[in-house]
Amino acid sequence: MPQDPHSAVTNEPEDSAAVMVEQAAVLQAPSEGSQGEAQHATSEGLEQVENYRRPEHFAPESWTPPSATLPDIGEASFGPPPPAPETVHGPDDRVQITNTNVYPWRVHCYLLITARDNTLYQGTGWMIGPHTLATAGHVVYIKGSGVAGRDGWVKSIQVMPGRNGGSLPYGSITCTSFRSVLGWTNDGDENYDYGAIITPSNTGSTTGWFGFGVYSDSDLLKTTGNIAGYPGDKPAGTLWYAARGIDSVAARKVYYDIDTAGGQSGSSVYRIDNGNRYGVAIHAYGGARVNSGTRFTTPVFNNYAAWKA
Amino acid sequence: MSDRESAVEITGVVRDASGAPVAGAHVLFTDGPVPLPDIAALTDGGGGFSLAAPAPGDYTILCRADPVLGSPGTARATVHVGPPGRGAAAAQVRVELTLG
Repeated sequence: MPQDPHSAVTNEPEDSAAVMVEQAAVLQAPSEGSQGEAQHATSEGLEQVENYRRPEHFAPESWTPPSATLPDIGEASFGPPPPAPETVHGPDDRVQITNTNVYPWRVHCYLLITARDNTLYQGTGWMIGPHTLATAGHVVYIKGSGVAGRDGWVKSIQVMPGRNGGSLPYGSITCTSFRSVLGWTNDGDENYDYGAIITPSNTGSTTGWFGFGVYSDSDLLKTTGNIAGYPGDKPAGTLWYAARGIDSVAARKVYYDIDTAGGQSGSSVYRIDNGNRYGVAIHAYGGARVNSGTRFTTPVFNNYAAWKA
Repeated sequence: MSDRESAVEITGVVRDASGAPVAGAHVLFTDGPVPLPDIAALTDGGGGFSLAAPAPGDYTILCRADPVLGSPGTARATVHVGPPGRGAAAAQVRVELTLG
Protein backbone atom coordinates (compact mmCIF):
# COMPACT_ATOMS: atom_id res chain seq x y z
CA MET A 1 0.00 0.00 0.00
CA PRO A 2 1.56 3.35 -1.00
CA GLN A 3 2.44 5.67 1.81
CA ASP A 4 0.92 9.13 2.09
CA PRO A 5 3.70 11.64 1.33
CA HIS A 6 2.30 13.86 4.07
CA SER A 7 3.02 11.10 6.63
CA ALA A 8 4.97 12.80 9.38
CA VAL A 9 8.52 11.66 10.14
CA THR A 10 11.05 12.71 12.73
CA ASN A 11 14.70 12.18 13.62
CA GLU A 12 13.60 10.95 17.04
CA PRO A 13 12.64 7.36 17.94
CA GLU A 14 9.42 6.19 16.29
CA ASP A 15 7.30 6.08 19.42
CA SER A 16 7.73 9.82 19.99
CA ALA A 17 6.76 10.82 16.45
CA ALA A 18 3.69 12.98 16.06
CA VAL A 19 0.83 11.28 14.30
CA MET A 20 -1.15 13.08 11.64
CA VAL A 21 -4.73 13.51 12.68
CA GLU A 22 -7.48 13.97 10.12
CA GLN A 23 -9.51 16.98 11.09
CA ALA A 24 -11.37 19.83 9.50
CA ALA A 25 -9.03 22.72 8.71
CA VAL A 26 -9.44 25.73 10.92
CA LEU A 27 -7.19 28.69 11.56
CA GLN A 28 -4.51 28.25 14.18
CA ALA A 29 -4.40 31.41 16.26
CA PRO A 30 -1.33 33.60 16.68
CA SER A 31 -0.01 34.95 19.98
CA GLU A 32 1.82 38.20 20.64
CA GLY A 33 3.87 36.65 23.46
CA SER A 34 4.11 37.40 27.12
CA GLN A 35 6.65 40.20 27.18
CA GLY A 36 7.53 43.43 25.44
CA GLU A 37 5.90 45.44 22.72
CA ALA A 38 3.68 44.48 19.82
CA GLN A 39 3.30 46.42 16.60
CA HIS A 40 0.04 46.76 14.73
CA ALA A 41 -0.29 46.10 11.02
CA THR A 42 -1.83 48.45 8.45
CA SER A 43 -5.33 48.05 7.11
CA GLU A 44 -3.80 47.12 3.71
CA GLY A 45 -2.37 43.89 5.10
CA LEU A 46 1.18 45.25 5.39
CA GLU A 47 3.48 45.59 8.35
CA GLN A 48 4.05 49.16 9.54
CA VAL A 49 7.58 49.92 8.42
CA GLU A 50 8.66 53.51 7.96
CA ASN A 51 8.65 54.57 4.30
CA TYR A 52 7.67 51.08 3.12
CA ARG A 53 4.94 50.83 0.50
CA ARG A 54 3.87 47.67 -1.22
CA PRO A 55 5.47 47.71 -4.68
CA GLU A 56 3.20 47.07 -7.60
CA HIS A 57 4.07 44.96 -10.61
CA PHE A 58 6.60 46.63 -12.82
CA ALA A 59 6.04 47.69 -16.40
CA PRO A 60 7.30 45.20 -18.97
CA GLU A 61 9.94 47.62 -20.25
CA SER A 62 11.56 47.81 -16.83
CA TRP A 63 13.06 44.33 -17.06
CA THR A 64 14.96 42.18 -19.50
CA PRO A 65 13.29 38.88 -20.32
CA PRO A 66 15.42 35.78 -19.83
CA SER A 67 17.09 34.60 -23.03
CA ALA A 68 15.83 31.06 -22.55
CA THR A 69 12.77 29.46 -21.04
CA LEU A 70 13.77 28.29 -17.59
CA PRO A 71 12.24 25.02 -16.43
CA ASP A 72 11.11 24.58 -12.86
CA ILE A 73 13.49 22.53 -10.70
CA GLY A 74 10.78 19.91 -10.26
CA GLU A 75 10.79 19.23 -14.01
CA ALA A 76 14.34 17.91 -13.86
CA SER A 77 13.44 15.19 -11.40
CA PHE A 78 9.71 14.84 -11.17
CA GLY A 79 8.15 15.68 -14.50
CA PRO A 80 6.13 18.67 -15.71
CA PRO A 81 5.76 21.56 -13.26
CA PRO A 82 2.57 23.47 -12.53
CA PRO A 83 1.77 26.27 -15.03
CA ALA A 84 4.64 28.76 -14.96
CA PRO A 85 3.52 32.16 -13.71
CA GLU A 86 4.47 35.25 -15.66
CA THR A 87 6.00 37.70 -13.26
CA VAL A 88 9.03 39.84 -12.60
CA HIS A 89 11.04 40.69 -9.52
CA GLY A 90 11.92 44.27 -10.41
CA PRO A 91 14.13 46.35 -8.09
CA ASP A 92 15.11 45.05 -4.67
CA ASP A 93 12.54 46.53 -2.29
CA ARG A 94 13.49 44.70 0.89
CA VAL A 95 13.77 46.86 4.00
CA GLN A 96 15.81 46.08 7.09
CA ILE A 97 14.03 45.58 10.40
CA THR A 98 16.08 46.68 13.40
CA ASN A 99 13.48 46.63 16.22
CA THR A 100 13.58 42.83 16.24
CA ASN A 101 12.57 42.54 19.90
CA VAL A 102 9.05 43.74 19.02
CA TYR A 103 6.20 41.44 17.88
CA PRO A 104 5.85 40.40 15.04
CA TRP A 105 9.57 40.66 14.19
CA ARG A 106 10.79 38.57 17.14
CA VAL A 107 8.81 35.58 15.80
CA HIS A 108 11.34 35.21 12.94
CA CYS A 109 14.44 33.23 13.80
CA TYR A 110 17.91 33.07 12.29
CA LEU A 111 18.97 29.42 11.91
CA LEU A 112 22.59 28.24 11.98
CA ILE A 113 22.45 24.69 10.65
CA THR A 114 25.13 22.04 11.15
CA ALA A 115 24.74 19.22 8.64
CA ARG A 116 25.66 15.58 9.28
CA ASP A 117 29.12 16.15 7.78
CA ASN A 118 29.57 19.36 9.84
CA THR A 119 29.15 21.73 6.90
CA LEU A 120 27.36 24.92 7.93
CA TYR A 121 24.29 26.56 6.43
CA GLN A 122 22.02 29.48 7.18
CA GLY A 123 18.22 29.44 7.05
CA THR A 124 15.12 31.00 8.59
CA GLY A 125 12.30 29.69 10.78
CA TRP A 126 9.27 31.18 12.51
CA MET A 127 7.56 30.39 15.77
CA ILE A 128 4.15 28.71 15.47
CA GLY A 129 3.78 27.74 19.13
CA PRO A 130 5.54 27.82 22.50
CA HIS A 131 8.20 25.29 21.43
CA THR A 132 7.78 24.81 17.68
CA LEU A 133 9.14 26.55 14.59
CA ALA A 134 7.98 26.05 11.04
CA THR A 135 10.68 25.91 8.36
CA ALA A 136 11.49 24.26 5.04
CA GLY A 137 12.00 20.50 4.85
CA HIS A 138 15.43 20.99 3.31
CA VAL A 139 16.48 22.96 6.40
CA VAL A 140 16.01 20.01 8.75
CA TYR A 141 16.61 17.11 6.33
CA ILE A 142 19.15 17.45 3.51
CA LYS A 143 18.16 15.58 0.37
CA GLY A 144 20.04 15.05 -2.88
CA SER A 145 23.13 17.09 -1.95
CA GLY A 146 25.38 14.93 -4.09
CA VAL A 147 27.67 14.43 -1.11
CA ALA A 148 27.86 11.12 0.72
CA GLY A 149 27.50 11.63 4.44
CA ARG A 150 25.61 14.91 4.21
CA ASP A 151 22.11 13.79 3.26
CA GLY A 152 19.73 13.06 6.12
CA TRP A 153 18.63 14.79 9.31
CA VAL A 154 20.91 17.68 10.17
CA LYS A 155 23.01 17.32 13.30
CA SER A 156 21.77 20.44 15.07
CA ILE A 157 20.29 23.89 14.52
CA GLN A 158 21.00 26.96 16.61
CA VAL A 159 17.81 28.99 16.73
CA MET A 160 18.19 32.74 17.32
CA PRO A 161 14.78 34.47 17.63
CA GLY A 162 14.77 38.09 16.50
CA ARG A 163 18.50 38.20 15.76
CA ASN A 164 19.71 41.64 14.68
CA GLY A 165 23.33 41.40 13.59
CA GLY A 166 25.39 40.84 16.70
CA SER A 167 22.37 41.27 18.99
CA LEU A 168 20.48 38.17 20.17
CA PRO A 169 17.53 39.53 22.20
CA TYR A 170 16.30 36.02 23.06
CA GLY A 171 19.62 34.20 23.03
CA SER A 172 20.51 31.13 21.01
CA ILE A 173 18.81 27.76 21.50
CA THR A 174 20.48 24.56 20.31
CA CYS A 175 17.87 22.22 18.84
CA THR A 176 18.22 18.57 17.84
CA SER A 177 14.57 17.52 17.46
CA PHE A 178 13.13 17.81 13.95
CA ARG A 179 10.04 16.89 11.95
CA SER A 180 9.25 16.55 8.26
CA VAL A 181 7.20 14.28 5.98
CA LEU A 182 7.90 11.27 3.75
CA GLY A 183 7.19 13.28 0.59
CA TRP A 184 10.35 15.22 1.37
CA THR A 185 12.59 12.75 3.24
CA ASN A 186 11.90 9.83 0.88
CA ASP A 187 11.24 11.54 -2.42
CA GLY A 188 12.79 15.01 -2.20
CA ASP A 189 9.60 16.35 -3.77
CA GLU A 190 9.46 20.16 -3.53
CA ASN A 191 5.67 19.96 -3.10
CA TYR A 192 6.32 18.44 0.33
CA ASP A 193 9.30 20.61 1.29
CA TYR A 194 8.27 21.51 4.83
CA GLY A 195 9.42 20.68 8.33
CA ALA A 196 9.59 21.78 11.93
CA ILE A 197 12.06 22.37 14.73
CA ILE A 198 11.10 21.51 18.30
CA THR A 199 12.84 23.72 20.86
CA PRO A 200 13.82 22.33 24.29
CA SER A 201 12.35 25.39 26.02
CA ASN A 202 9.14 27.40 25.64
CA THR A 203 10.78 30.44 24.03
CA GLY A 204 7.69 30.99 21.90
CA SER A 205 5.69 31.88 24.99
CA THR A 206 7.90 34.94 25.31
CA THR A 207 8.31 35.86 21.64
CA GLY A 208 4.80 34.96 20.57
CA TRP A 209 4.03 33.15 17.34
CA PHE A 210 2.15 33.36 14.07
CA GLY A 211 -1.02 31.49 13.30
CA PHE A 212 -1.44 29.59 10.06
CA GLY A 213 -4.36 28.65 7.88
CA VAL A 214 -5.69 26.94 4.81
CA TYR A 215 -7.08 29.41 2.28
CA SER A 216 -8.79 29.00 -1.06
CA ASP A 217 -7.08 29.91 -4.33
CA SER A 218 -9.21 33.02 -4.73
CA ASP A 219 -8.47 34.15 -1.17
CA LEU A 220 -4.73 33.78 -1.68
CA LEU A 221 -4.70 35.52 -5.05
CA LYS A 222 -6.25 38.67 -3.65
CA THR A 223 -4.15 38.87 -0.51
CA THR A 224 -0.89 40.67 0.21
CA GLY A 225 1.96 38.25 0.87
CA ASN A 226 4.47 39.30 3.53
CA ILE A 227 7.90 37.72 4.04
CA ALA A 228 10.56 38.43 6.67
CA GLY A 229 13.79 36.49 6.96
CA TYR A 230 17.55 36.41 7.04
CA PRO A 231 18.97 36.74 3.50
CA GLY A 232 22.62 35.85 3.06
CA ASP A 233 23.32 38.75 0.69
CA LYS A 234 22.75 41.26 3.50
CA PRO A 235 24.90 41.97 6.59
CA ALA A 236 25.28 38.92 8.82
CA GLY A 237 22.20 37.96 10.80
CA THR A 238 20.05 40.95 9.83
CA LEU A 239 16.29 40.70 9.33
CA TRP A 240 14.66 41.98 6.13
CA TYR A 241 11.01 42.42 5.13
CA ALA A 242 9.16 42.74 1.83
CA ALA A 243 5.58 42.39 0.61
CA ARG A 244 3.73 42.00 -2.68
CA GLY A 245 0.70 40.27 -4.04
CA ILE A 246 0.57 36.50 -4.43
CA ASP A 247 1.27 35.76 -8.08
CA SER A 248 -0.26 32.33 -8.56
CA VAL A 249 -1.13 29.18 -6.68
CA ALA A 250 -0.92 25.46 -7.37
CA ALA A 251 -2.38 22.58 -5.40
CA ARG A 252 0.61 22.38 -3.05
CA LYS A 253 2.60 25.53 -3.85
CA VAL A 254 2.28 29.30 -3.66
CA TYR A 255 4.19 31.52 -6.13
CA TYR A 256 5.13 35.16 -5.56
CA ASP A 257 7.67 37.71 -6.68
CA ILE A 258 8.40 38.97 -3.19
CA ASP A 259 12.17 39.43 -3.04
CA THR A 260 14.16 36.78 -1.19
CA ALA A 261 17.74 35.43 -1.21
CA GLY A 262 19.66 32.38 -0.07
CA GLY A 263 19.29 32.12 3.70
CA GLN A 264 15.55 32.78 3.67
CA SER A 265 14.55 29.16 3.22
CA GLY A 266 11.91 28.42 5.83
CA SER A 267 10.59 31.98 6.11
CA SER A 268 6.93 32.59 6.74
CA VAL A 269 4.86 33.70 3.79
CA TYR A 270 2.02 35.29 5.73
CA ARG A 271 -1.09 37.36 5.41
CA ILE A 272 -2.56 39.84 7.84
CA ASP A 273 -6.23 39.33 8.61
CA ASN A 274 -7.99 41.58 11.12
CA GLY A 275 -4.59 42.53 12.51
CA ASN A 276 -3.55 38.91 13.04
CA ARG A 277 -0.72 37.16 11.16
CA TYR A 278 -1.37 33.79 9.51
CA GLY A 279 1.19 31.76 7.58
CA VAL A 280 -0.08 30.67 4.17
CA ALA A 281 3.14 29.04 2.90
CA ILE A 282 6.70 28.18 3.93
CA HIS A 283 9.24 29.84 1.66
CA ALA A 284 11.58 27.31 0.05
CA TYR A 285 12.81 28.20 -3.48
CA GLY A 286 14.22 31.23 -5.22
CA GLY A 287 13.90 31.50 -8.98
CA ALA A 288 14.96 33.85 -11.74
CA ARG A 289 11.39 34.98 -12.35
CA VAL A 290 9.38 33.83 -9.35
CA ASN A 291 9.91 32.47 -5.84
CA SER A 292 7.84 29.78 -4.22
CA GLY A 293 6.84 28.15 -0.99
CA THR A 294 5.02 25.08 0.26
CA ARG A 295 1.33 25.85 0.63
CA PHE A 296 -0.65 25.26 3.82
CA THR A 297 -3.08 22.63 2.65
CA THR A 298 -5.18 20.57 5.05
CA PRO A 299 -2.54 17.82 5.56
CA VAL A 300 0.19 20.44 6.06
CA PHE A 301 -2.02 22.27 8.51
CA ASN A 302 -2.79 19.07 10.41
CA ASN A 303 0.86 18.13 10.68
CA TYR A 304 1.85 21.52 12.05
CA ALA A 305 -1.09 21.48 14.46
CA ALA A 306 0.22 18.15 15.79
CA TRP A 307 3.84 19.33 15.87
CA LYS A 308 3.00 22.43 17.94
CA ALA A 309 0.97 20.44 20.50
CA MET B 1 9.00 9.79 -8.62
CA SER B 2 12.77 9.76 -8.39
CA ASP B 3 15.32 10.98 -5.90
CA ARG B 4 17.33 14.07 -6.62
CA GLU B 5 20.66 12.32 -6.34
CA SER B 6 22.35 13.81 -9.40
CA ALA B 7 23.40 17.08 -7.77
CA VAL B 8 26.91 18.30 -8.42
CA GLU B 9 28.80 19.67 -5.44
CA ILE B 10 30.33 23.14 -5.77
CA THR B 11 33.08 23.51 -3.20
CA GLY B 12 35.34 26.46 -2.62
CA VAL B 13 37.39 28.59 -0.33
CA VAL B 14 36.86 32.24 0.54
CA ARG B 15 40.01 34.28 1.11
CA ASP B 16 40.69 37.90 1.97
CA ALA B 17 42.99 40.13 -0.08
CA SER B 18 46.04 38.77 1.72
CA GLY B 19 45.10 35.20 0.87
CA ALA B 20 44.03 34.24 4.39
CA PRO B 21 40.89 32.03 4.62
CA VAL B 22 37.75 33.78 5.90
CA ALA B 23 35.44 31.97 8.31
CA GLY B 24 31.74 32.77 8.76
CA ALA B 25 31.15 34.30 5.33
CA HIS B 26 27.80 33.68 3.60
CA VAL B 27 27.91 32.02 0.20
CA LEU B 28 24.74 31.73 -1.87
CA PHE B 29 23.41 31.33 -5.37
CA THR B 30 22.05 34.51 -6.92
CA ASP B 31 21.31 32.99 -10.31
CA GLY B 32 21.03 29.52 -11.75
CA PRO B 33 19.40 27.48 -14.50
CA VAL B 34 16.55 26.29 -12.25
CA PRO B 35 14.81 27.52 -9.07
CA LEU B 36 17.06 26.70 -6.13
CA PRO B 37 16.55 26.03 -2.43
CA ASP B 38 16.97 29.44 -0.77
CA ILE B 39 19.63 28.33 1.66
CA ALA B 40 23.06 29.89 2.19
CA ALA B 41 26.32 28.18 3.10
CA LEU B 42 28.60 29.51 5.82
CA THR B 43 32.36 29.13 5.49
CA ASP B 44 34.12 26.99 8.06
CA GLY B 45 37.33 27.76 9.94
CA GLY B 46 39.37 27.12 6.80
CA GLY B 47 37.16 29.36 4.64
CA GLY B 48 35.59 26.32 2.97
CA PHE B 49 32.00 25.98 1.80
CA SER B 50 29.84 23.57 -0.21
CA LEU B 51 26.71 24.15 -2.27
CA ALA B 52 24.67 21.64 -4.28
CA ALA B 53 23.94 22.40 -7.95
CA PRO B 54 20.89 20.29 -8.86
CA ALA B 55 21.12 20.67 -12.65
CA PRO B 56 23.72 21.41 -15.31
CA GLY B 57 24.15 25.07 -16.25
CA ASP B 58 25.73 28.34 -15.19
CA TYR B 59 25.42 29.44 -11.58
CA THR B 60 26.27 32.84 -10.12
CA ILE B 61 27.66 32.66 -6.60
CA LEU B 62 27.77 35.60 -4.22
CA CYS B 63 29.92 35.67 -1.12
CA ARG B 64 29.43 38.23 1.60
CA ALA B 65 31.61 38.57 4.67
CA ASP B 66 31.05 41.02 7.49
CA PRO B 67 33.23 42.68 10.08
CA VAL B 68 31.10 41.00 12.77
CA LEU B 69 32.72 37.70 11.81
CA GLY B 70 36.10 38.71 10.34
CA SER B 71 37.31 40.32 7.16
CA PRO B 72 34.56 42.30 5.36
CA GLY B 73 33.96 42.30 1.61
CA THR B 74 32.09 40.64 -1.20
CA ALA B 75 33.02 38.40 -4.11
CA ARG B 76 31.17 36.95 -7.08
CA ALA B 77 31.90 34.08 -9.39
CA THR B 78 30.15 32.34 -12.25
CA VAL B 79 30.49 28.59 -12.19
CA HIS B 80 29.68 26.24 -15.03
CA VAL B 81 28.34 22.87 -13.98
CA GLY B 82 28.29 20.03 -16.48
CA PRO B 83 26.21 16.89 -16.21
CA PRO B 84 27.34 14.48 -13.50
CA GLY B 85 29.45 11.57 -14.73
CA ARG B 86 27.82 8.19 -14.97
CA GLY B 87 29.11 5.67 -12.44
CA ALA B 88 31.92 7.97 -11.40
CA ALA B 89 32.64 9.25 -7.95
CA ALA B 90 30.62 12.28 -6.85
CA ALA B 91 31.08 15.11 -9.33
CA GLN B 92 32.60 18.30 -7.96
CA VAL B 93 33.37 21.82 -9.15
CA ARG B 94 35.93 23.89 -7.29
CA VAL B 95 35.92 27.70 -7.03
CA GLU B 96 38.15 30.23 -5.27
CA LEU B 97 36.63 33.51 -4.06
CA THR B 98 38.72 36.51 -3.03
CA LEU B 99 37.00 39.28 -1.12
CA GLY B 100 37.17 42.71 -2.67
